[in-house]
Amino acid sequence: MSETETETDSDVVVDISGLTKSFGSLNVLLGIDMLVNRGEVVCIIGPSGSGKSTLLRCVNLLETPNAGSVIVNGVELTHPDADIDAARRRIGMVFQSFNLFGHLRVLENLTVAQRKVLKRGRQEATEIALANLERVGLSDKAHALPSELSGGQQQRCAIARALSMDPEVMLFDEPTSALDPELVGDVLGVMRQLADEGMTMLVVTHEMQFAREVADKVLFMDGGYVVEEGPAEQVIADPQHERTKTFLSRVLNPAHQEG
Amino acid sequence: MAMSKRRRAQMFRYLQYGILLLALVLLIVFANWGQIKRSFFNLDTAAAMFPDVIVVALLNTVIYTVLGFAFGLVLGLILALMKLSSVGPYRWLATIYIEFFRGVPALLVFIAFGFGVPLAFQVRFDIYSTVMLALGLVGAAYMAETIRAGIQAVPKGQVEAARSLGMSQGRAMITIVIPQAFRIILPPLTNELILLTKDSSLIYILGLIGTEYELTKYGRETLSRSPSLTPILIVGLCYLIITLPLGYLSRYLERRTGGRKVPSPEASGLEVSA
Amino acid sequence: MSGRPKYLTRPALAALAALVVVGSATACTESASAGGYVKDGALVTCTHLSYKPFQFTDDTGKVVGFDVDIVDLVAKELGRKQEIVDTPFEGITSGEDFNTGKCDLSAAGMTITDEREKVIRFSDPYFDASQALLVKKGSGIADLAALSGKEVGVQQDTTGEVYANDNKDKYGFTVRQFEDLPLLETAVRTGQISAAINDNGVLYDYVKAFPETEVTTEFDTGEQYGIGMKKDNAELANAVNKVLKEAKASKKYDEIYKKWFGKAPGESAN
Repeated sequence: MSETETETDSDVVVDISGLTKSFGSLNVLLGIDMLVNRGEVVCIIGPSGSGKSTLLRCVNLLETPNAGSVIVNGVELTHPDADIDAARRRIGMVFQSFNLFGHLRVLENLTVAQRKVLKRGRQEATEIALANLERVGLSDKAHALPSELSGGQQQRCAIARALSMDPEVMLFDEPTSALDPELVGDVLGVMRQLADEGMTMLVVTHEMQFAREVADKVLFMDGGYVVEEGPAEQVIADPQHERTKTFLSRVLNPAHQEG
Repeated sequence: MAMSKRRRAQMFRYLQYGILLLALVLLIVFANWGQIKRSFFNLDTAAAMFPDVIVVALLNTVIYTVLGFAFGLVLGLILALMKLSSVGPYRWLATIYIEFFRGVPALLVFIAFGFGVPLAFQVRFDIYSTVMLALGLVGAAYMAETIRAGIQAVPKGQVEAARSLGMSQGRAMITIVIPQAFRIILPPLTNELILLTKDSSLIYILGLIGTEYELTKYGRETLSRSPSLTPILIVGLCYLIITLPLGYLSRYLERRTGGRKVPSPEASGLEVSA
Repeated sequence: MSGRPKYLTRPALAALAALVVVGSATACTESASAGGYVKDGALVTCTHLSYKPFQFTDDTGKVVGFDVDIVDLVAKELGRKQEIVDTPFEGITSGEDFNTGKCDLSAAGMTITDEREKVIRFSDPYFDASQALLVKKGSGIADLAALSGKEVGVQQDTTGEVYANDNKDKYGFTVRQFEDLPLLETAVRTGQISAAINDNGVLYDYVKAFPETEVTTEFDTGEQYGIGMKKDNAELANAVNKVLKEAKASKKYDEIYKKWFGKAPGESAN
């Protein structure tokens, strides 16, 4: 086994321990431990500024932690010799602002990384791309430019793009926060479908209903810590901590007094 | 006697038009049209300039400009990347280069490469190489800043998405960032092309053979043999044949890219960790 | 609202400016003639630098040379002070500098030719010259025939240029034209051209300073330099010719010649 791979339980896809991150004098993550098992859907919720996006971005090293370790698919990404580019091939990421490549058509968006990074042939890459477009319900948009699509369509294409790399885990950074309400459902539908198919997912979101219904585990973060962690149903319907309760009561129907 | 504000403004507008009209009339009346015609519109002289003014002079101007632009573009891209690099010495080198070649008249650069460098280093370049070098070195200094701003104008999310897919920083730059950056900076680049077209008039200082003459040199040579200034007018029109369409192209491209202006370089950083 | 009166808008100011320009333009078309001279108390000379040893700048930046000394004699005779203006050679040879009121006369190592005589008035000849060939030392090029297939440099608008163009087809060389003498001479040293054709006076002076070059031959073109003036300026021409005659008779001419060429005229090892 190479230096950067560790003997781990092959069922653990993401293993984070002692993760600390600050931006200058601003401490954003104050020591996070987290495990994501294969096939699990984990949702991270919390108020803005709690560090949830930063945590997610540390998983594929878009942010470099100051301390702690990040092990994904058995590869320790925080090791100095780690080949991050190689590791990222197996981690899919979906962004709040979609980030489709504006100068490429949808099909090219989905094939460019397959061909340049995974070295797949044009034929194979196109087939996989079309299959994934089918999966997210946008086969007819293969030759459109991103600027011609609605937000929801762009996001679904972004998901298809990430899927085309055959990742072992998918990261979602507030995937629906930038969408008009009527488009949110389509994207969540695709994510639900993925979860049903057994994809390991780590999702930062404000969509409580989605979290409750789809996630296996929910983490509530506040002020740089994981305040509460547990089965989705339990954390959202029956939170234990005061701060969790306060947050949820503000986010969910304010008139709804629960627990 | 109290006029409304609007009425007063209207009156003064008419007064301005009147003054302008008067100035124009005075110009027309007092200009020595016979002299002007003799000086600028000698048809025989003009006719004698064709086809050489097009097939030699105009063609050469285009060739020199294109050579200089191509070299300058490539060098400018390299300089832009150097300036964006995390390696200190690259940044300093690029900055020194850009400040120097932007601060020194292009004519001096021509003289340096036409005479200074050959003398000092015992080398010789042909005319086209010298022009390509001199124009390109100067052009690169201007284009580097434009290209840099273009690269920084590409939203940071594009690079993040590319890196998340496993692309290396280099691959992300080549496939995702630079193509989009160039779309953004096409209007200012077209303007740079116009400037280079005019700077190509400086190569006379290198010493030219008749077949190497570009528009300005051709015009001056013809002028020295003719009784009127017509050659200047003709050559000027030839320059406009090149620069006016480029100007339209630039404005068209600007509209096409949604008028997305290149923002200040500090707008978005480009370093993505690891 | 701001304190600026409403009628002082941009169009109004522009129109005012246009009026001023038109007005002054019409005023300026009358040539500023202070008794036939362009400047009070001065004799303004147009020349084209640098053409050593006829006109060039010394270490202090002052313009000196053979032509300068000759014109100083004229200025003294006229009771005026010489002022020198450096302009492109084509303005001198075409006479445009006189038409635009730039100067009273031109002294620029200028050969008297029929072409030039059409547009300017020449004084009597004051210097005998011929074309010469400047090459890199040891190149072995001693005549035009040896230049077949090579490049020969000339200076813009000179008799040397005419001579080269007249002979290029016969001997099979190409002519490369340079803006001024220093650039032309440098091009010989860089090897950009195989040889340069220009007046013997200046080339001999050059090889003294740059011994890696040499003058291998002269072409007997029988040229003579003249001082240029406006075509209708008979008065000034008379004055100049008088001064030249006196200088030659009184040996003052020889003195100046020796000063710049190291030997008296007639002693030249031609």
